[in-house]
Amino acid sequence: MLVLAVLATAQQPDETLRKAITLHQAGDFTAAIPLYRTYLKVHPNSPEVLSNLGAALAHQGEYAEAIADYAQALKLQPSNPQARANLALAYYKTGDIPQARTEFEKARQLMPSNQQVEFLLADCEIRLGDNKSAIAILTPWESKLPDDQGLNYLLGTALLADGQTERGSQVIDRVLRHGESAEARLLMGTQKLNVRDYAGARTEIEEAIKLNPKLPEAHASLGLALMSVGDYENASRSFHDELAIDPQNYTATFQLGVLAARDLHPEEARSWYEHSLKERPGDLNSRYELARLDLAAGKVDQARVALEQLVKEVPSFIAAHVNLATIYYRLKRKEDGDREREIVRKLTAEAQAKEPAASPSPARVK
Amino acid sequence: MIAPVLFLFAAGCQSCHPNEARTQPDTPMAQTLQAAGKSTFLQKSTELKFSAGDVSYRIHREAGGAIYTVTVQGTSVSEPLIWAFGSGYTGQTYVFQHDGSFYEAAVSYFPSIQGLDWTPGHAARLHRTVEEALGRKLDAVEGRRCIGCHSTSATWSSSSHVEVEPGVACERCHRNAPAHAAAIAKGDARSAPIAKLGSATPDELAEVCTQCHPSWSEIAADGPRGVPNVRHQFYRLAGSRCYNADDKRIACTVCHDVHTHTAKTAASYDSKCLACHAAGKTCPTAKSDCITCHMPKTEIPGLHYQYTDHWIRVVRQGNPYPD
Repeated sequence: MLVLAVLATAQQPDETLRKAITLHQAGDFTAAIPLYRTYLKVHPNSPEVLSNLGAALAHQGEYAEAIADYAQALKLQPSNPQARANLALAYYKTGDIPQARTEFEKARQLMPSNQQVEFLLADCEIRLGDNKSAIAILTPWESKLPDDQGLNYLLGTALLADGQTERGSQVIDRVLRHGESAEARLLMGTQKLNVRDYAGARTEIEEAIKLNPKLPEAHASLGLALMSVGDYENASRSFHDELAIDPQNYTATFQLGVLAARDLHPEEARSWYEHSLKERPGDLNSRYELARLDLAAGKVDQARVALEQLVKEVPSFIAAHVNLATIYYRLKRKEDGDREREIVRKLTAEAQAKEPAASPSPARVK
Repeated sequence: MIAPVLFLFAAGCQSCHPNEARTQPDTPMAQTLQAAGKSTFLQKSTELKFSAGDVSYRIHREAGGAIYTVTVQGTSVSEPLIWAFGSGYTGQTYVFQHDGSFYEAAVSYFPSIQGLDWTPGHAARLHRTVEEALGRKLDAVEGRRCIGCHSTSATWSSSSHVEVEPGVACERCHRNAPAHAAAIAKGDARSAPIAKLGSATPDELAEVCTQCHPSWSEIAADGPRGVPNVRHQFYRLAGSRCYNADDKRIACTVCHDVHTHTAKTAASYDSKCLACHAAGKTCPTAKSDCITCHMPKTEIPGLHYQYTDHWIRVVRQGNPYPD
């Protein structure tokens, strides 16, 4: 992953700063940090040194403090591109992906066409479920770096998640040209999941995990494959395995909510959905499931308001219309219920018409 | 273990409802769960076999019971089958215990092929080892759901022990039947009246039937999409142009008398259609057997049964399956 250690050179560095930079460059962050702090006591408004201190702290895993120093540096020098990218990276490392995306977007303005910034921004977009944005960011790099494994993996992931199977397959082919890798296996597993080849998906993903047990998203994908064939116990285990690697993983948190709801543990489900909503602020699926929990708990009006808001934001959200219809019927608002049901019928027919292999009319059998 | 309890159908019902008490036990709903040893398919067949790739399945009779054996590359596991789910009208799926957990067998019996094939969903699973090939482990939630719908009552003393009154009997749908029977016995029927489900509207009836048959909203929101949803009659019926949740003429019980199981001809449903369609525009093609055209039989791949599509419509060749 990206590491942007910024070692700025002060115009007239004093001995303390010189020593701090030397130690920093030598990788002795523990020794460099107090020296930066000493220097900053005398020169508190030095954005470069604040940024250096942030970088040293980030190296030590002290992301909260690093974020504070980068933020201070940027307050003094808002257009410092490296401090901005480092701040974004620190958020990324802490798992605050929404904030990381915001900062990477700002860094991208300051450092147009910076490969690492763009790749990390694309990764944030994928993790936040905005696959189209990730594809838009990564596509221009395809011709420049056709054999870059990182690029192909990210682009392949985004394309498959966006349902662009054909183009995704082309990218997977490029990954496979480099031989066996966990990433390639996971991409193939994802592709098989998309076409509902659950047994094939499971085989590929298990192979990916064998090659790299800590590959992000692999255990979550295995959980999805297991859930699809009704193996809920092992699916739950896989989602927890994913969270042990990445506590912020959206798929795992959301699906654990689904499993808890299925097991009739609504409060636990609510907690997982609130978690997944935190990982993807505004996430439609999490909000929808929370509304369903409200409905099941008899909080009909609360559910109605949430679902009405959802269909206002996304008029094609079929499941939300379905539940709204149910609520309206329950509230004896038949006309509204009928209207929602008609919307469902129309949207479902439209969705069916878009499918490449729409089922033909069945043969009549007497 | 699952222990069947003595089922006293209509002990309190038959004196006032003798016809229902006589015919209901023969219905598919009443027989939707039975001890595997009592399954007529398993009783009739000495041995049933199915194989796919490296895995083979065998069900054979032994000492009054049925034994399920799975073999993968020379390694076998055998377990006695405990329960047969489904009356066998469309198919029958078996449940057994293995290592203290309930499992759904990977193969089911389908009367139309008079043999075994994959239980729905199992073809998509991995069968690399005998443990994987055995079937699908049912967790507590799923076990309760399966038995909950296929029985009249079930009392779980632990996750692996349950006492079951198999099949659907009076009080599964008429929830206040015991109180009603008790009130009758005291000569005070008014204190516990029983709902007349036969004259309920589609929406009122849905409250009862969707306890086990998925509702329109369940299928509309969560699928399945395409031909596999032809099994879900509530969803399909609600898609029909003539469906009206408040109109009793299109309620389930108008066509389906759940207390009897008599083979019906297509023509026997005509009067139900004509209750609405007698006046106005008439069918240009036929004067009888409406359902053969307007509710076409549709087969779900792998299920070996042709389901009646309850999405009532004018079917035109080449039109997509309405979803």
